[in-house]
Amino acid sequence: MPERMEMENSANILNAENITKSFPGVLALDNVSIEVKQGEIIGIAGENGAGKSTLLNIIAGIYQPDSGQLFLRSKLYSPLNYQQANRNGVFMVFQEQGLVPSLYVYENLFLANEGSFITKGILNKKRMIKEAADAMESLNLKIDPTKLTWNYSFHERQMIEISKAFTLAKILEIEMPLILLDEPTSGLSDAEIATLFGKVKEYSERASFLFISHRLSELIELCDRLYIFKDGKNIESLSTEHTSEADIHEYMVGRKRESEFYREDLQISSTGKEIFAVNGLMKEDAFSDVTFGLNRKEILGIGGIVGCGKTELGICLAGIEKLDRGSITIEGYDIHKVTLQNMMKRGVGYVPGDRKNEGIIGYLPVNWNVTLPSIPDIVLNGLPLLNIKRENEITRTFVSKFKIKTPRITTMCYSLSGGNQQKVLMAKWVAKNLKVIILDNPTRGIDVGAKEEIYKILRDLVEQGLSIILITDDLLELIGLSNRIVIMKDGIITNEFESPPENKTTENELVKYMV
Amino acid sequence: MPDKLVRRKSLGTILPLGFIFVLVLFFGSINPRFLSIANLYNLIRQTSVLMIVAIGATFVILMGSIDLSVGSIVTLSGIVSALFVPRIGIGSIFIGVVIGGLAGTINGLVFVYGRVPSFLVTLAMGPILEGIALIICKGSPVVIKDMNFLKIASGRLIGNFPNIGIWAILIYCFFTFIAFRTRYGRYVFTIGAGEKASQFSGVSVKRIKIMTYFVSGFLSGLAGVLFSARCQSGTARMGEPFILDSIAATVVGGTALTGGSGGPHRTILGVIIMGILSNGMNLLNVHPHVQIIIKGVVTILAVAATLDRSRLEFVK
Repeated sequence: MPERMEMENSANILNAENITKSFPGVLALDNVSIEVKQGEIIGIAGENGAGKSTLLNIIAGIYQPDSGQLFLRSKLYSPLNYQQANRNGVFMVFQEQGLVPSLYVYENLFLANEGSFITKGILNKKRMIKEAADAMESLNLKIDPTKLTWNYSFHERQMIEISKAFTLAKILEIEMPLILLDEPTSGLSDAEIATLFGKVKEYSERASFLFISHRLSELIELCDRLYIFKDGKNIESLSTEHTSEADIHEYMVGRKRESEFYREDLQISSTGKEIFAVNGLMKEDAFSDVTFGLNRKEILGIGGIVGCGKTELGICLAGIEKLDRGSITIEGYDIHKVTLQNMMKRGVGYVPGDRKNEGIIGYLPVNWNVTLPSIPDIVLNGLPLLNIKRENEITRTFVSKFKIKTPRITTMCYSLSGGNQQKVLMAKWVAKNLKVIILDNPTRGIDVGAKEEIYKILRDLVEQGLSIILITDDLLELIGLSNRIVIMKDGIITNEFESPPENKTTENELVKYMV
Repeated sequence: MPDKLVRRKSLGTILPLGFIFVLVLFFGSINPRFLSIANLYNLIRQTSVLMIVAIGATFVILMGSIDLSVGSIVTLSGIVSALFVPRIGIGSIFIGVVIGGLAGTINGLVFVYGRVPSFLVTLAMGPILEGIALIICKGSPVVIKDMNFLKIASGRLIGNFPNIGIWAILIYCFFTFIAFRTRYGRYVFTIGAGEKASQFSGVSVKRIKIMTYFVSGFLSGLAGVLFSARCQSGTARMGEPFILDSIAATVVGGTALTGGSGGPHRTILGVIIMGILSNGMNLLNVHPHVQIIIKGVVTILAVAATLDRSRLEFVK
């Protein structure tokens, strides 16, 4: 009996049991269990924020779970950092940051594990190079370990990362490593993806893989089995045979949209007067041929999968990055030079998606953050002197209007919750009396209560005459809030939907045009 | 974590004040002459030039950059203005200020448009300006004999209060006002605390950076003129000590090297500390070479005490 147990368990390289992990305000993983058998290629699918990356980071020892246990080769496994994970035969191919570009390939391969090459305090470079060359050969890679890493293209660097996992496993005397791939195909061309997948399949006799991707077709093509995550839960486990993209998508989305949550009762039909129009916008490697109009008091939603070009479109519309081609018209006035300053002057504001780095300045007080774009408007008598009284008035107005929970208006922003920081970020632009505001994922990573408050704020702003371009990854938010929805795929608009309150489209309808 | 940050913040104000108190007690108890009015004026004379240079350094550090060329700007402007004194008298103040402002603007332009780290631009600008100064004065001191000119620093307009101290107080008040009550000043803070978010909010980051190097250069230029008036000559290497002292005074006063927190109003505390240290050690006859060591140690301790490491991913 005990022998049989061992047999059964030895087939499983990884068991994750009831893993729960929360971050302030978000439950990232809720009681998730998965298993990976030896030699299997397992995929995880799910929307942004479903908890995929969090799970990988826990397995790699970068985060520790709040509760739940991991078993590696049926032994309890609780790595405290990435090095410990490595010693147990778990390796992660990071999206981009794993290799030091200015080092030689062989140096990268053995980085932080040079110990076994040291004799009498001296690093045996010859032996390192030889071992690296052997590793490349055994993986059928045409990579010269004595070249500098930056000479290699993105997908070749991915392969170097994977070979690093194998070489480290060899040094550490581990037979079957578990390799975690976090979106390894973003930024790769089709041919490169094919090469990568060919290699992964080839190596699956010598390793097990756990793989995250946004592209569902890839998951089906590469993986033996799939887990589908939604809102931090593992909701389905599928064999990839007889599974279509649409099947997966149904599991991934398939949430019930509650119209009250998005305050659809407050949706007003726009005035029909066009305030903002773009024609034939193009930015190399991001989007092309983008044409649409925005009416007064309208919310225009822009959706599409990650990497479809909608984020870049927002940045270009704000004037932060240069457009390669196309024109923008605001209230019939052609903008000749699309710069941030010009767009601001014409009444266009941009709320970036990266709240922490591009939106809020954490180590400055709330009032300084709120008035930052309006400083030129609140100077004293035309002199470049600050009107501190006015600044504090504006801040107090928005703190009460947006219900920003802060002890004082001089409290440093980093100490506020994500939802309140987002409100400060919104206040910052609304205080400027804009006509058009571009929002990139305005509710990313904030809790449900704060989301609801922000939706109400958006409805009120539209009521007062503002027009909104809403770029978001959250399909329910896109459907619930927008008057009209534009869907992008690979940088091109694939369809446009009317979305009146009484006749909202469904997620599945939109997804058809996204993938 | 927030508690820890609050603690650090209040430390930034209390620590320098406490340190001044301890230093005064220490030197005063050993040598009563330290507490005399005459020595107070002496202290003012010794620290005023540093005060002016350090205010400029504070703006640069608030913005998250650094200016290592201040010493050479002091030297160059001191020497050139001393050369002009026989011809244009007090008018040579303007010569010094223009040289400083110009050097600072060049620093800013190379930093912003050449995209060279500020640390390196100003480090290299130091020897360049020093070399120009040496060529101009041919290596020997330029003596100033014009009594009217010398009075701008060593005269006494108000009672026995040294004129050079009036300059320092005026500059201190004016630039504290600039930092907290003007658009420009606000942007210096916001760039230091979050450059990208500032840029995304429509702040002309490049212009503000260049202006800040201009301010630092301008003030170092003025300091150079006053210093040569105080020393009655412009000499090579006269500005050298100001490089470390201006950064030390800024940081000891409680402006974080990470940028965005602190301010010129605090730098006066750092200047007083550095001044009392020199003055007190002089009175105790500590060898000048040992004094340099002690100042270096104090600077490191001050940075260790005030640096907010939670904001740094790596300490470089």
